[in-house]
Amino acid sequence: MDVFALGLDHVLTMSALGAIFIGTILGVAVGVLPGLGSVIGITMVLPFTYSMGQIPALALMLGIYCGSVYGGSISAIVINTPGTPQAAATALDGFPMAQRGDADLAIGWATAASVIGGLFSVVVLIIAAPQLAAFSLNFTSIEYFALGIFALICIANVSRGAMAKGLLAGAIGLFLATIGVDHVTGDMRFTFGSFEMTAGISLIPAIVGLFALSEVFMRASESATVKAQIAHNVGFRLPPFSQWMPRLWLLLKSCTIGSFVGTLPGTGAATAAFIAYSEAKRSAPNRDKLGTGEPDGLVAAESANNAVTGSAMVPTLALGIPGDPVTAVMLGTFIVHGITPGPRLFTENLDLVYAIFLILIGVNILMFFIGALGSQLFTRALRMPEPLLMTMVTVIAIVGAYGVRGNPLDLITAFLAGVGGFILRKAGFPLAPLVIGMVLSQMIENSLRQGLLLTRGSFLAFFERPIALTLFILTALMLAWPAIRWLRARRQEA
Amino acid sequence: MMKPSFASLIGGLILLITAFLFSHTFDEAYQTSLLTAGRGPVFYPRIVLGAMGLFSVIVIAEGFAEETDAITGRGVLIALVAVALTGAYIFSIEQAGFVIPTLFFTFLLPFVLGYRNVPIVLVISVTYTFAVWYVFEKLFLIILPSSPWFEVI
Repeated sequence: MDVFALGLDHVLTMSALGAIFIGTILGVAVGVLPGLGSVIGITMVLPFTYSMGQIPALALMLGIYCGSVYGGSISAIVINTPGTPQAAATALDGFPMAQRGDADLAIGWATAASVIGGLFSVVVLIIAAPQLAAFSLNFTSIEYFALGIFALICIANVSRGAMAKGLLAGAIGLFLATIGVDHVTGDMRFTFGSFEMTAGISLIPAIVGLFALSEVFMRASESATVKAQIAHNVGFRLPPFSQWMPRLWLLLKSCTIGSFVGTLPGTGAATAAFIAYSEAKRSAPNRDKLGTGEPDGLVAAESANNAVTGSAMVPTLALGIPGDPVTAVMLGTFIVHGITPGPRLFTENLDLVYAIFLILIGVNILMFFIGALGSQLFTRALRMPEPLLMTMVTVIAIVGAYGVRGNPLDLITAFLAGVGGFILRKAGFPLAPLVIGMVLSQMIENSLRQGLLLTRGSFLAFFERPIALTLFILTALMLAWPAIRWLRARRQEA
Repeated sequence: MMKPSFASLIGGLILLITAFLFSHTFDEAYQTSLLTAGRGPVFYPRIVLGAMGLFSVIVIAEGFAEETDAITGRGVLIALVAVALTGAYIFSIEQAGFVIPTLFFTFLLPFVLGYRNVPIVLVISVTYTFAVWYVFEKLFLIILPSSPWFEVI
């Protein structure tokens, strides 16, 4: 209880409360603007967090994370353009509802469902993360190695239609992180005599380049600007409780789907929203009306995508393994602030963990009021010309890359990562596996080498441990899945 | 005859770089390194580079089955100008500090991206540059690169 009180003390400060408030507002704004999204939003505030304390910095980032997932729904409803990919399923029923003059009601449904989904996932986080952390105390380096490989393959595997590209991107990420000093032997690797390269490639500038700068270059190459088609009657109207009653089972089911999907590496809120929407289409009371402006679609999509936010933090906090680029950026920032996620966080810094739980609860409740009071204002942000927005993003991203260490070399890293990211995206490579590869590489390498020490150099002994063996089998199945699917399709054709 | 797609070309480039890096792991510098469980500093990178080589070959092969995507046109030209402008901006920050290059950059990039309302761009350029500089330098005490010509900025 004392630790909980300490966690509460951390949150009940002006700076932390202010960060929750500003973070959530910024998050919703970033979510509303198509193309920015959670990663760019968090990347943009990185430089601001450097001079903040641990808790306000975490509060700012968590506010942006949750706020942006919700904010995407507003533009999906109002202009039929999801502000974030997570809100793509929301547009299916949200926009038709707005077209018939009920944009305010659609925003009311989306806001309430988002808040309920978000709070549900915080409960999942509170229950699951300490259990997982306690369980993972039994892990040796062999299990961590298997887990790291499994997480990376999952992320590469969800790159639909581009599995080989996803795997290649993941391997590139693993390799990039080996540049610099070998932490075991102290040797220099792939520095080619350059002193500047000895520290390796800094993660935050690389992420800034890969996501923020490459996005600007992509926008430039597509030169597509969003034509604002503001629907009338934008505002906020909460649906009456009587309309919620027949949808409570759907809401619970969608929250559960979102929370489960969130804990899996590489899946994310967009996948959760579509799975929940498909499930609603299969079993919801008004399934025949889905796609025509039916609230069931909004409830399913929005509760599921927000239910990912808390549960995605489960592997990040408990194991130190990020499930997607958003949590990877957050993990990087945790480390900048001296917080090392993993099982020891739950034994040595439990107050911080409680503070994170409380911040997430606060952010989700605040999201309701921000949506209720500010949805009309946020839709005005859609009128900002995209070139001006992209220019501002570039400058703030560059400051973010520079601010980590104040080293001009980081600016070059960000720029090269931006150009590299742009080329890879043009060639159809997903960038998420690359970033996750960079984040996980050191853990995978250290655990591999420590595991080989434990087993006296035997790879076969890695398969003798049950948890590791299970993870290896799952990894093999993930890799073989496209071939299995292809064989099944051929058999069905025949 | 099938033309390779852009993805194949990038896969080929990655394969070349991978081959070079793999051969580099046999450099003499690594042969004298300390070994743990019989494994030296390039043991893990070799596995990763091996995987990169394998996946590159698959990407190249898959690329031949893809439709040849045109990476040409006005959009790519605009992107290249944006890349060059950003590169010049980053290079000049090191030489001339944060404020002056940012003033130019925030004025020029909207033009490159297709927004040509001069008064608005001018106002945004000046206010945004100084706002960012003030917030970081004065409020957050993050020292941004300064110009060699002016004391304050």
